[in-house]
Amino acid sequence: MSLQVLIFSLLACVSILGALGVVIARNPVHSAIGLVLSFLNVAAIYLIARAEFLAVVQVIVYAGAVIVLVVFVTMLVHPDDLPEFHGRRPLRIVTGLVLGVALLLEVAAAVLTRSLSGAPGPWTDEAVAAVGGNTQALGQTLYSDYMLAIQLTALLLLAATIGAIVLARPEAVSERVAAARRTLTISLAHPRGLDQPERPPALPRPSDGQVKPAGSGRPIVLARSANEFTEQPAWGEWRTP
Amino acid sequence: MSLVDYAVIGLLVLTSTVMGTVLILVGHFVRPRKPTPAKLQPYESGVPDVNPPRGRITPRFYLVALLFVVFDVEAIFIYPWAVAFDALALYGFLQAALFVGILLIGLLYEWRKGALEWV
Amino acid sequence: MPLRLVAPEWSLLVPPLIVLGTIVLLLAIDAVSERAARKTALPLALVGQLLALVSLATVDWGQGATTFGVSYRADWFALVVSLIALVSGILSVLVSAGYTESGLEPGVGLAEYLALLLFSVFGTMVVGAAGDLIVLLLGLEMSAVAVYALTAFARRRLTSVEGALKYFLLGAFASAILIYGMAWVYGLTGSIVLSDIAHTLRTVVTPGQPLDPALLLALLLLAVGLGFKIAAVPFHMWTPDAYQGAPTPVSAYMSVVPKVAGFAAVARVLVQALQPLSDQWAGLLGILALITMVYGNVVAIAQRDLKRMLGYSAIGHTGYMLAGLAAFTNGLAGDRSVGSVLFYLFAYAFMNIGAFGVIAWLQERGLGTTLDDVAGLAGRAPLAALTMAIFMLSLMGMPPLLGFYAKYYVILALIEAGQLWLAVAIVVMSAVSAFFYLRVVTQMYFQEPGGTWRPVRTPLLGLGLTLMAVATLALGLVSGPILELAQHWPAALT
Repeated sequence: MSLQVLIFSLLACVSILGALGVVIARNPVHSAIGLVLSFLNVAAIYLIARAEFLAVVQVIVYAGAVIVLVVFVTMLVHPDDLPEFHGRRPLRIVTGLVLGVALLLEVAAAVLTRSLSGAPGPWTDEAVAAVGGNTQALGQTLYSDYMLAIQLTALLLLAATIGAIVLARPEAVSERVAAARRTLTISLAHPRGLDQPERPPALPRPSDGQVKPAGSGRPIVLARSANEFTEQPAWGEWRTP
Repeated sequence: MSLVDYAVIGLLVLTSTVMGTVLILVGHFVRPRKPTPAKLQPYESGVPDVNPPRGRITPRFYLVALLFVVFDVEAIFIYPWAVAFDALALYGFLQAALFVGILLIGLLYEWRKGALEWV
Repeated sequence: MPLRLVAPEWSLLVPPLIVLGTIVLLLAIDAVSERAARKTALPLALVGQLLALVSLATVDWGQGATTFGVSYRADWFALVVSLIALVSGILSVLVSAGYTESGLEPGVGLAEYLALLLFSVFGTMVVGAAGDLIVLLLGLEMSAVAVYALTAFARRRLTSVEGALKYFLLGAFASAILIYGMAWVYGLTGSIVLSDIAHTLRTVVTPGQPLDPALLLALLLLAVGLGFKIAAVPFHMWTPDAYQGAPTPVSAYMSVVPKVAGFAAVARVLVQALQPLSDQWAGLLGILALITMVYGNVVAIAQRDLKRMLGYSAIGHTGYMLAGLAAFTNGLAGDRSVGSVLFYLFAYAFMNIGAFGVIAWLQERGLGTTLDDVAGLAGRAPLAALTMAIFMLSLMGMPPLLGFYAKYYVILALIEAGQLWLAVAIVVMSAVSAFFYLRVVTQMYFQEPGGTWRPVRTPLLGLGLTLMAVATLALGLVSGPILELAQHWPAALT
């Protein structure tokens, strides 16, 4: 039993460290890595608590899908466009700290002095073992007693799908960009279509497809073929040594 | 399943973590270090890097990612049904069919609306 | 552990199923032909909701029958919430008619818009009928998620996206807190069924004794989470930006139906499940009500943008409704508290959707949303000015109008519960609110018009506004049956 407590403490500490890393890291990608670390450790804690299904969900949905989304969004946003999260706002920091500590103390007090506990349900360890395990038991309950909840979840996901389509569906690509795409190779660094409602900045002619600073200081490279690059210096000019 | 059954997995995780860390650290301390600008490039050979690695990604990926999350969550809900399939019998099957059917509406709709097109 | 495989009682589910069917039909038509959808979507959404409204009569709500185990309760409370949600849904669809009639914001996918709106109505109906915490949460989320997307519907406009982002982030945060509170409740009582929670708590809580800290924590987390959903101060930060940024018909909708869902959730969770803790939460709600109504009404004075002003005024009205809940007396015969809130929500739907509707009407005629834009409206469009004046006076609480009766019943409930201070606060704050509501009226009637006026025909929107104005004028005088219905709540919640 003490081994279990030891492993739990280890996992809990690492997950807290990961969570701290999420908040402290300045690079959003580092934050994402901290988040993965935290999620995986929480998944392991679920395993200790014999909630195998939750552990699987934690890995598939959180460590998988949600992190993918986080990294996607990080890549979508220009790092220079991000607001400064670590600004000097002492009042805000102090308020957050005080409220956070108050909540922590309240939770600690609740955990330590708790005198109530709910009556155990019908799924005892033996009952769970009899049907073959945690996931089987969950499947049986979920698809019998919680039928309404399951179907409502499907509807909620449907609403979310439609909302996502509404918000992120590409509009008809303007004729200009379509024409440019037929004749040019446009580099990934070029923002086109969705995030710029107005006409894109005048495209440089392909013949002078050099490393050129665009409006934001970002290079835009346009070329008819990759061969044009071979005459370029081995490393970009924008990179100051 | 008791905790002991996970000992093997734990051992695997532990071994891989330790091995990875040790190898990187050993490499870090043992290898010779003679930097040149070319060596400090992210990719040393082939086409020179013309763009910063973190160039913008079109928001189109975003829609794909969002839809991926939705269907990932759907998969999670089907998983316990698949495991308890025999006990739930026809009743469970109909429910899972309804669940998938509702989400199928969403899939068909977005297909029809061109959200899956790569314009 | 034997499996219990029971088919649901379909007859109880007819109204929400009709709404769902309408959504599927809308999506199907839109998927087949966008042109057909543009023509049929609006009538379809109207007919679907009207059918659902009529079908409310097919269910015997008095029995309090349940289905899906006890997850879905068809009781009086569910009836009134469904009624308010459907009526507000119909009115919002009428207000949205401008989208088809004059193309307020081009590129709007009308079928998607209406489908999301109906999803939100459906979610609200589910909250009203929820018998356990999971169903309640799912309904609440559905009513909110659809509105997040609707708020960002004008996705080219930065304010719209900004409002949606604030609404979404704070809403998601609130949901997390709410779920944490629910988890505590489940851990302490061993049940997620609302009536079982009340039953268990009754055996462990003795009145007059200090609460177990864990229960107090659960109560606080639930109150904070639900406070965000109904935009009570200090959890209101998203409200003004979301109301101002959203397309105006969406503002009209989101000022009412998600609020109905929020208050239904508050009633289901606090009044039904945590009834034994009513000593604690009634006091808490009283304080929240006071600061909410003071803040909303005072800050509204400083606003020059009408939509933002209505956003703050919505916060003020949340305060009045919370005061109605704070009048809850555990077990006193003839308790009016929840009934008065339900009636308030019903009245609020007409006057607030109407007020936003007039703004949408003006926007379609090329005007903006500030106070200067309504200047001299009485000379240009006397009917529109009269309609707006009716809504403003009703929101203020002018005697023969619907808004007066709503406030009157809340004050009555407070006086009967012995909470005189809150009753006085409502009266004082109504006087304060006269300042900014009447300012709109004076602008319309005593100022010279400015700006460019582009005459367009919007018959459906006009019909909606007329309906709401007539209802605001007349429903107050014949409020008996609705109030009667709302006063059945103790049968459902205790």
